[in-house]
Amino acid sequence: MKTKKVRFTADFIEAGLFLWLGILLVGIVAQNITRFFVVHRLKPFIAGTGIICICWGMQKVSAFFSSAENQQPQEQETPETVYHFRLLIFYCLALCVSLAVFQYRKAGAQRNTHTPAAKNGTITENELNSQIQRYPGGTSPSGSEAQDEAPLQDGAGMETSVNKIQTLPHTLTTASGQTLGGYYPDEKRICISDTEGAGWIQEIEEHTSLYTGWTITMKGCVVTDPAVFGPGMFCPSRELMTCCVADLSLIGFTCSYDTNGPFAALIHDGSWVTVTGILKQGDFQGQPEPQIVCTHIEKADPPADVYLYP
Amino acid sequence: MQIVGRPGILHACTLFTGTWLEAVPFLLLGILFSSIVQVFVPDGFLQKVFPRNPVLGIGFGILGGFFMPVCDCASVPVFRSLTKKGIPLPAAVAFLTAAPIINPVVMLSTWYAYGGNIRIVFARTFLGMICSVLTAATFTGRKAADFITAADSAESCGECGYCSGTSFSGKCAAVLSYSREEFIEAGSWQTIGIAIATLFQVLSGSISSSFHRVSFFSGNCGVIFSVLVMMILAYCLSLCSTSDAVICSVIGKSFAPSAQLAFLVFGPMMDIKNTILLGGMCSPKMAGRMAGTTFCVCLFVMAAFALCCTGVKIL
Repeated sequence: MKTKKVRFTADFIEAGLFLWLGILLVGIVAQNITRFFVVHRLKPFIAGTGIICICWGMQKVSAFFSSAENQQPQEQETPETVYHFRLLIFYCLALCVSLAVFQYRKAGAQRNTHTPAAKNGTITENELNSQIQRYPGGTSPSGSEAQDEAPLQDGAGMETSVNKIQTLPHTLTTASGQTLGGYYPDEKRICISDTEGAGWIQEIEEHTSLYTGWTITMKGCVVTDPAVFGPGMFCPSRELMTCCVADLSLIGFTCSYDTNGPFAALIHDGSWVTVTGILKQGDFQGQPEPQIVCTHIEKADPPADVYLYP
Repeated sequence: MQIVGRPGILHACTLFTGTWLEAVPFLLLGILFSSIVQVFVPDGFLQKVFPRNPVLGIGFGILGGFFMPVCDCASVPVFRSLTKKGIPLPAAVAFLTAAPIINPVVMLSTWYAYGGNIRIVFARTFLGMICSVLTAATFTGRKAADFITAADSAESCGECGYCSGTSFSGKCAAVLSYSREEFIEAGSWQTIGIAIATLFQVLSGSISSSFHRVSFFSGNCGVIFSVLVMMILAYCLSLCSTSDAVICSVIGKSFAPSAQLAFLVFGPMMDIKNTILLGGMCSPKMAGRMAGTTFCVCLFVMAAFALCCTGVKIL
């Protein structure tokens, strides 16, 4: 009798657990809090998991009100201690997820309120261009559509690969089919928006010779690790989320700047800057890599979404 | 930067939640699939239609892995379900080890990560298949009951009450009940595995710093040592097989192609969370045997590849 009562209580707890988890999962998808933890493509899967958790909870609840004959197939007899241990783990899990979600819900709300550039989760191209017009070496994107549709030319005047066909003004379609904005071939200039860093960094790394000498503008969080970078070098980095927050990796171009220049005060770890500079083929720990020689550095707000997604 | 650099319990909670949210939908997919197999497939059916020849059986297991585009989390419940239905153990092991590597989603993510380099996709798939076949071959002549807890082995199937219903709606309800129980069991083990993997990540700083340390550690040693170090790193990081290629291509550039391939082949086959999931759902003996065998087989295959194919251009 006592065992039955304990089991009934555990069943009740189990029903509550699944309903809690289900509502939590559906809620974080609905409020887009998942972006702090996983990539966007996982959202339907998480919502589906939440719905199934709710179904399990409802099934368990309905079992309390159904007669013994209509009960679902008899469940495998799991020892009480093991069963309770598993439930305890799930409750710890639900608490941990709730804690993290609550924290990021607050952080997300604050960021959306206080970041001026947080429209639609990105800085628009016009906003970026208005900054670039002031930069030495950068000009306004006055190129017409007709000019943009002309065959693309690299620095040496060679035609680029046929798979890079411009379909929209100021966009580039890469070999992998990704369309990237902020592309001004007639001015040899690339403005990397907040959301397209991953695509552009990959494109420039794969075709460095094509873009050598071009003016690059990008935003990033300053990393000046002395063990990695020499004096006068830093990386305006972004965090790339491939699948979830546990696999974040820093990406960005190594930049060189004048340590006695006016921008040196802006370069300290953790500050957000918008960098404009000329791309060159550099060398990092014996490996060739694209690097930027900075012509202008400006303090910047953190992007609405701090992560990049491939 | 802001999240990664944040120390303390919230950082650990964030990493844990991210990994759990990433893994749990795939575990659920595997559980739903295994529940459907358990409830809808009649007892003895798979035993009848499955090839008796061990070589053909392993081939079928690998083919099954190709048609199940899921990561390693989902393959463990399906593996247990297959053994319950009487599939020979080597074939089920072939499925367990091949599914996370040779499925189309993983191939596409590898192709994308390495900028359309088809050679590394072929190399990963081919080496994964070799490792899978060799691992499965070591289980030839062994029965599921030798490694999987008696209550979960094929002999007990049919006694749980789930398979006895006849109506379609009754079977659907049974799938829901069965999957719920499986989820509590597998989910609790997976949660422990993720917690341990998170602890490792918190202690090691971040994935980038782990790679840098390993790179420094193996920089002056031979390629075999580099392969070994990357395999250990893959095991400890417990990355999803659908995303590990991107991370390896971004951070692992300073490693030889064979070491990168070792990371890409061994990681999906076995990692911390898989070992614990396998130990909980099957038996600790099975988890230990699988971890040891896959490690030795992968090390042998990847070392042979590194030594014999030095002139082959992979990257």
